[in-house]
Amino acid sequence: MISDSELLLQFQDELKRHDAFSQLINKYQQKIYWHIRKMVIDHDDADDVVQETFIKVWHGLENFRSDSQVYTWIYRIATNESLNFLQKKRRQNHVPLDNDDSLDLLNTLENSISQDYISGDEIQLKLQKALLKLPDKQRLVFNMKYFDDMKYEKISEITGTSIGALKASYHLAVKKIEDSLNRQEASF
Amino acid sequence: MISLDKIDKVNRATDRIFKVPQNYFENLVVSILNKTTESTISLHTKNQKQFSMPYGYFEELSVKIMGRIGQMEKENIDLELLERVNVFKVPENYFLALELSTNIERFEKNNIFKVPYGYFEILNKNILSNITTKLAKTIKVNWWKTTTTKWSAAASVILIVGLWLGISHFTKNKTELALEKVSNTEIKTYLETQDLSYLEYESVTETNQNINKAVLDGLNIDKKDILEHLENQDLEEEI
Repeated sequence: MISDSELLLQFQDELKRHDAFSQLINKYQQKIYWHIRKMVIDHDDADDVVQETFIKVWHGLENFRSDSQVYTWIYRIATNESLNFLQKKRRQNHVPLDNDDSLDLLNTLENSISQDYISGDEIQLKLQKALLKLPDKQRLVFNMKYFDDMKYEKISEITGTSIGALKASYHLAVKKIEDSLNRQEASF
Repeated sequence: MISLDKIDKVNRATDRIFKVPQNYFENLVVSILNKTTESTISLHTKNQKQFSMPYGYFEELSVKIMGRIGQMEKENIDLELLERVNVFKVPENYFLALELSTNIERFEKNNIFKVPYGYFEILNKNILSNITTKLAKTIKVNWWKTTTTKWSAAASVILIVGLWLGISHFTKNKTELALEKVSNTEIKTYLETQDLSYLEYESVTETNQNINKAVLDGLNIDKKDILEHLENQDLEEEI
């Protein structure tokens, strides 16, 4: 597979630009999609956000400074787009700021289950429901660390947050989730 | 019938009923004194007998005492030296089962989300088509076609314009109405010639602060959210 730096070079050439960009999409679409999907839950919403992400990549790739890796940069755009999407959706659904953020996404999760867009055993579903109770940014860090197994240094590069804060956020998230799962177990 | 009232008072005296030996009371004092003297002598004799003890008693006494102390110490329970045994029991594999059900690090990290069949094959095409062609969404309004709609629209427009003019006129306070007649040049000249005191500046800034405070209060930002925000700073794109 062609390297990112070569793709960037090809992108600078107007004749090869489309082809280079197509290869870039093919290379990262799945990773970016799953990153977004785990945040927005619904497939159609994820589809919108992933397309918006790559459109922004298209517009910004020409001026990309190569300070960080292309993938990290795309990941960062996808993260921003996901968070903005979730905020916008809450505003549109008139979810009060002091209300539990999870209710909206819980409904989305339930709908996805009913539409067979989600399959998993009981504990996996419980985990997802517990995850939705976390604030968006904390859930984001958790997803990257727990599901994507990213190093803190990488997450720090993507989010612009210090490693210490990320570690604290992750461990707090783990505790909240385990407490939530414990409560669910105790209620049975 | 016998009645207590009818018994002769004279016969009620106890000395008529109970009898004592002759000179009993005269001899009683002497008898008591004699007996007390005897008992004193007797006690004295006993005490003298107690002071005698077996040969070598005190030499053996300390040994006896230390032996008893040692015995007592052995019987004392020292918690620090007690073996720490957990007497409580749990069902078999209880903790393993608990850990498996709640320790998320031991979960299989399965992806529970599904995508439509062939989604990723067409995603690329969709993105490229969004970039290369401008999607212009036009909303064609055919509402002029119906007469009713036409007149309704016209009436609505007139009403809206009339309300806007009326409301803007009536909501203006007297100052605004008065200032409408004053030209900008006159206002500017007035401000240049007047010396705005510090107090006037202060009141303006205070009002702004109150507005900001009201806005912040209205947002109901929880301390938890602020801390969370500090933990996860706002992300900025590098574009």
